Amino acid sequence: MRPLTILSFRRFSENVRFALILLVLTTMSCGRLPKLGEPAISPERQLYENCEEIPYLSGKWRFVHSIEAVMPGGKRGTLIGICLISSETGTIHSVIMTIEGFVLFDARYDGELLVSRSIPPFDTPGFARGQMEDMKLIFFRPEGKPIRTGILENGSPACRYENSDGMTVDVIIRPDNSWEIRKYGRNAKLVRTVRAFRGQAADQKWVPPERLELTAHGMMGYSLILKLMQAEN
Amino acid sequence: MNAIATELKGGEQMAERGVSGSCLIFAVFIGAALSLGWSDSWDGISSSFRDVRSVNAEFVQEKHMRILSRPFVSKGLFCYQSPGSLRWEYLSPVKSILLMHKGKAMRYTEKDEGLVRDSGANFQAMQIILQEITMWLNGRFTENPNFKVSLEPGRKITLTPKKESFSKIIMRTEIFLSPDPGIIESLMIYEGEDSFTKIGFRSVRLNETVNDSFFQKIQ
Repeated sequence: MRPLTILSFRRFSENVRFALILLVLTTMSCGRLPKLGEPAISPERQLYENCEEIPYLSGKWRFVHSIEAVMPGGKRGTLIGICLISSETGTIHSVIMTIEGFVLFDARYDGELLVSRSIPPFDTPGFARGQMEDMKLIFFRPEGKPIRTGILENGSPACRYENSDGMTVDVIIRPDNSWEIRKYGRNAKLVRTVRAFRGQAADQKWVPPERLELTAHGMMGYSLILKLMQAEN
Repeated sequence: MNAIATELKGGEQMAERGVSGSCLIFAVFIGAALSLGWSDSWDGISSSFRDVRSVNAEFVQEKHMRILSRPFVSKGLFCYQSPGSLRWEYLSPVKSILLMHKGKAMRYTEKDEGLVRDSGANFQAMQIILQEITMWLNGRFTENPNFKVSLEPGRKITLTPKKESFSKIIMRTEIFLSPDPGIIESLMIYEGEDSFTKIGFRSVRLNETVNDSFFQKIQ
């Protein structure tokens, strides 16, 4: 076996440096927002048509969902989620319970987060905040202003929002009236995907999706399937 | 004459009413005495539950919370076999089967691909409650040192957690016993004053033979 000399150590450190530069370049190239093709009509008009006319939840709604969760590590479980949401006040009241009716989580958000009940595994510091962020992403118009609109490579019209934190949200409407939300981090990495499936809307009003699929990407990724059981307006 | 006849007839009717009324009161007293017999003391309760080998029933579960405009109702089938086997099957609105046998518990829930076994940590919290329920079904209400237990009028048993940490999860549980010996009529589990679960049992059948596999496999 060859002894480790100063020369071989230098070569080794150069190789490590090269590998790090390559890793940074690769990461930078991965984090890229999808290209939005140029609209056929004037960008301002397209922005208005695509972004301002997208129906979002309006007024006060109460939903009961069954939630099929696949948590980090592959653990699976089914829960019941009840939420009271108001687009006017921006408030959310969320309760998660077992099928047997045992309440595991109860929290309200009205600008500030108030957790009144959290039982393991829903008692971690980040859970309540993350859960409210997920609900805001699903039900509320994205924060910030629309910055761009266009057509994705698959032909679906999309509207891009950017908030003050540098997060980007794409709202994509599909021809079958289903919609998709993609949230990107500051490094343009995809962090959340929401897919919503609903019946045909007779007018431009928001219709509660019969099924919602949320995927949190990354190391601690998880996925949720929300099936609508009750909706009241 | 007719007036006298009518008066006499009325008197007879009153007398008949009086006799039937007495019979009814007597029957109510006998019934009350019989029904009080098994549920007015811990000894009576323990001995009645000792005779129960199995329970088959339908159940209706109502979840009451301030966030709900009306109770969230679930329905299903319940089967218990002494000493600790349980099958708690929800038929609606979410199909789910909870099995417990020889201390091992599992839950299956209907998903797109059919009934799938749950492995979430949320199920661990439920297992603690299940252990408690099987103790009650054995008539062992007073054995858990974590609860203060009281037997109250109206065939009601109240369990209150002694530790504050536990009372934050379940404030108290009320168990209503049936007039028929060895049967729990309903449960009220209070998580807070405005959040509680009511589980009512009906079509209860006692001591039918149940195969062990019923508590081990979803079938």
